Amino acid sequence: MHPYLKQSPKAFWKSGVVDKSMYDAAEVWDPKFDIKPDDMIGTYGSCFSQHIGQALTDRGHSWLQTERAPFGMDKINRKRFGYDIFSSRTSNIYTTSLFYQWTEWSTGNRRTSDEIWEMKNRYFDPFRPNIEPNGFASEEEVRVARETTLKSFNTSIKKAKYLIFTMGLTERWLNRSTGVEYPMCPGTIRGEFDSNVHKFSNMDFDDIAENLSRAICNMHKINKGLKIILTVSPIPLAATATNSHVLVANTHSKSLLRSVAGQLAKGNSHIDYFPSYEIINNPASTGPFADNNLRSVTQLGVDAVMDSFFSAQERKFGKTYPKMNDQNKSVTDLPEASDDLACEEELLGTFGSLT
Amino acid sequence: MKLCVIGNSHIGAMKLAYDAIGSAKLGAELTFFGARGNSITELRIRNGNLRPAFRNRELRGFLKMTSNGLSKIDPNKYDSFLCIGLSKNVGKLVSVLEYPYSKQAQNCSIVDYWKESDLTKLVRLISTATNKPIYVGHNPLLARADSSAKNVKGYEKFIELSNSLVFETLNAILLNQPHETIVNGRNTDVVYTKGSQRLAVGLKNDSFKHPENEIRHMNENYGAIWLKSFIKSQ
Repeated sequence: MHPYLKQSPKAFWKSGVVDKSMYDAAEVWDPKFDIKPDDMIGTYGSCFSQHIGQALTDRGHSWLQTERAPFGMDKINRKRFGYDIFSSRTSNIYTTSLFYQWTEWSTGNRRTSDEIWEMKNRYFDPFRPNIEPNGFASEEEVRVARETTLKSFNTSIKKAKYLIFTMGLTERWLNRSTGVEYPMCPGTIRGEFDSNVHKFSNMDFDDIAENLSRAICNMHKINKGLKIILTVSPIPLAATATNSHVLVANTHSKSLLRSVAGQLAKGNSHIDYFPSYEIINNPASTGPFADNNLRSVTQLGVDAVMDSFFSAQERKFGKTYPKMNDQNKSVTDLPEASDDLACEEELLGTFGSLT
Repeated sequence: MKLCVIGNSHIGAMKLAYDAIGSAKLGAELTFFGARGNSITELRIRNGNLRPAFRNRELRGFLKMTSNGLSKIDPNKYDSFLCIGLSKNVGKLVSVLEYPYSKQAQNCSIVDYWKESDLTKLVRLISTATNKPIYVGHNPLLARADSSAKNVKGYEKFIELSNSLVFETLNAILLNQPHETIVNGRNTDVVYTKGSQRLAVGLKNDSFKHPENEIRHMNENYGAIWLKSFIKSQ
């Protein structure tokens, strides 16, 4: 009797994928952690992770936010100013090395960069180029805002029981002399590109893993019990700086990120992997889950991911989490989830020679 | 001066004070039109007057009670207008200005707050009916027992920015709460809540005293200080 005879239906492509509804992804994840509604959950990462915080709140979970918008600011402006998106106002953190940089700065292990960009008498944070609409009024405002967020980031690590980090990219832009990493290539959103100052780097498996491990190590120094949930953004690259076709570059990046996430989850009891990438990229689900630009994820897709998250928790640990939003809408009724994202990488698609 | 005072329950303190002081001593003749909650914003303009919709008997009753018999507001009868209340938690905006948010974010908060408020809704309504001066008094700052020194710089900045960013565009003026009533830079001294009463609008609990731990509504003494300060500034 060979081993495959003992495997459950989920182990076979036909019974696990072909014969299943694309909305039925409860068995895709076998969660390590029993996440309770009162457990504080921090969220950081790339564009896709912006959906997670609100989805947690909608389901009655405790999404940790340590940097709140000023009283009075309305919902649209809170988003414009980078609030209510991640647990603190970090803007998108696309790579594991950028995440490591944030942990180094916020813990004081490394001195925070002084770099500030000036354009037309407004001042911008190179590490959050879109965080302030129209830029800050002065360099001092940039510094104060950065310091506030670093403190808030640190606090979020301290207070969280779980941290969900969405890994987005392997391609990155660095400063040749200081080594700092920018979330976007200088000159695309803000700033000016200078090949003497800025260099491209595409991380390999070891780079990704090492940076992520170091970031987690830094976080554990201030919160020993913190558990990490890794996920890979299903949103493809907007553009690649390599010589490869973007389709090839994307698969290369996502494969590495997925491998690192899987490897770290396998080897560490405090790290789990949640398969949002697999759910969105399920061959059975490329229609309703993908926007017309074949990049952004629809609200239906986001819901499918979060439904899977919570139904997996329920299957394993026996709880029920209500879906707060209307589930009866058709695909055409639902807004595109991408409309609400504050995504600098999305803008990269407009900076190439072909728009 | 004939002043039309329109607002929510926060006109109560001023009405009590006015009834006690009298128009002669105050130097102005005030007519009050009030309703609890935000139902005063249900006024409509018809034939140049501000009045409730035909079927809104409840609001009509409130107006008659507070104005001693009038169910509509004829702008021609008044020299100016004073809108009171309909603006919760303004003290939090003072806190916003004292926190190191960017100037742009602070300004945005002030604009967004007032944009959503019932107070500016009322101001817009009145300005549609008349070109006469409109003055605005926000909800009293929440009460607090605090003996710390008054530092009202943040509060003054809040008034200044609210006027420059919002009320000037509405041809209205936001007035400050008299500084002598402020503690902690953003609260009202708790002594001004003692003995505060529910606005009399024709309901069973008219003039009932607010609970001992009331922090929102102020008493006659507060109303007197506020009115005298306002009349003096005219």
